[in-house]
Amino acid sequence: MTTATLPDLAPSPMPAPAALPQADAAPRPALIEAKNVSVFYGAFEAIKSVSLDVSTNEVVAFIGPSGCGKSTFLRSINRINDMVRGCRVTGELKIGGQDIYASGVDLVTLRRQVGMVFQKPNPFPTSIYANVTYGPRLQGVKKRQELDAIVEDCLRKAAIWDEAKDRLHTSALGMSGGQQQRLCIARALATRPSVLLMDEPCSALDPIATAKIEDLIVGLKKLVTIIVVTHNMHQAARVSDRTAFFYLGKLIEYDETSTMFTNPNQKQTEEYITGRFG
Amino acid sequence: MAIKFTDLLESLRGRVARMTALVQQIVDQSVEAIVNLDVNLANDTVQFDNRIDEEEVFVEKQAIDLLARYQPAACDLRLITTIIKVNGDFERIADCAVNIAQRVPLLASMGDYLVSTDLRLMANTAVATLRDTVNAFNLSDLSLAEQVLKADDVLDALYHQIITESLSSLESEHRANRDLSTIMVAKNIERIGDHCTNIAEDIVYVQSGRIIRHLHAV
Repeated sequence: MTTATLPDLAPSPMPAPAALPQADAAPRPALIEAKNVSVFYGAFEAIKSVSLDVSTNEVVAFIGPSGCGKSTFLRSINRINDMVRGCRVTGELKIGGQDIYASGVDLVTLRRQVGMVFQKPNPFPTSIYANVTYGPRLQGVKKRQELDAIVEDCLRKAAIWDEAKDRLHTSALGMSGGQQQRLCIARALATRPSVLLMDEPCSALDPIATAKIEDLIVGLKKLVTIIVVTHNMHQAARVSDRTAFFYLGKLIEYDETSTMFTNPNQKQTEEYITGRFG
Repeated sequence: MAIKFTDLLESLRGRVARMTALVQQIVDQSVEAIVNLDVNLANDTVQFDNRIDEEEVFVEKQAIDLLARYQPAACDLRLITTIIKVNGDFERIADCAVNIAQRVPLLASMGDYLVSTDLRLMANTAVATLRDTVNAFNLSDLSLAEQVLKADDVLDALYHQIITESLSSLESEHRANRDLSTIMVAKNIERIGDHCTNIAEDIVYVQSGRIIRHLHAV
């Protein structure tokens, strides 16, 4: 069995805010390319022939009513659905040009490259330090100095260094929900992913913690490509560059977020966004 | 929440419809006052503007409240932002009506003043354009809005004709006073047409999402 190679991303300091995009700027290359992707749970077709591209360093929001398939599609991008009995994926799903469903793809490598943050913060019941170093240790990083640098770098990128630096060796479970979620993001960043999947990352958080995560998403897109599933329409409008609207397993519309929230092309999108159904 | 928002939005549309009815009334009154040189009606027209000012503030507050509380999107966002804009245009149309009415006492005192055929035609065209604008807005009628955009050319042409004729007679002091007033009346009628154009452009935006301001063709 051959192991597929996936794009790597070297750690870098948080960049300054980007200048406004130029009208004639060249289109960014697609990092994720889905072509006619369908996902089945047994005989049930949860995702119906979805095709979409996600560019490098952009934030894409997936929206749609419960059961529309947005989380199913998200979980197909790092193959976590493989763990669901009876789940089957057809079509083509590439990351960095590599078909992630090709035979020989190493799932550990894939999931290192495609990090995931879940709805409910799920820190390991260990110290803050151990949470962040868990991935790098599995990858073979042993030197204390190197691990210390990773911890500081990732906690800074996740905007939680100042709150955590004096309690690195205390239990992560002692943190607030918002802090735990940012720790989970730091933990995901520690494996240097090129893609970060977020499945309703703020639904269990209060408005202040939600605002911090949203700021983080906008800041992190210089480092990683982010896909966020959210039921919060305003959150999608605030943080994403492009928005995809799913309904009954189909991709109804996918466009610039400003277009989707001011003048969507499809009637179903408009009715959902304006709260008239769903 | 969605149902309540829809009700509130309908209620806001109702208040805008009421505002537009008041604006039509004040323009009708001002045109009648100038055509008949009716000083009493002109004074009533000036006073009537207070109601429209109050209505404008009420509509604006309601619209801002909906934006703040519900953060609407898509067609709802376009409608509310447009209501805020056209609300201002309708209020300025009422101000034009007041400006016209305020010229009536001077012109009536001259004794020999008669409203010219062109000015009468211009006033009637503005009244008709305003009626179409109000109907286009309240009925979300895109084709009627496009007609309003074309009608402004007629008002502009009449305005330039009146200006040209009036300027040629400014040597005489008596005629200068009279014709400057005529020019001011014509200017305010022409401004009513401009505000109707703004509103029609905003109707196109609400219905289609296209911003056609500064474009010559729809």
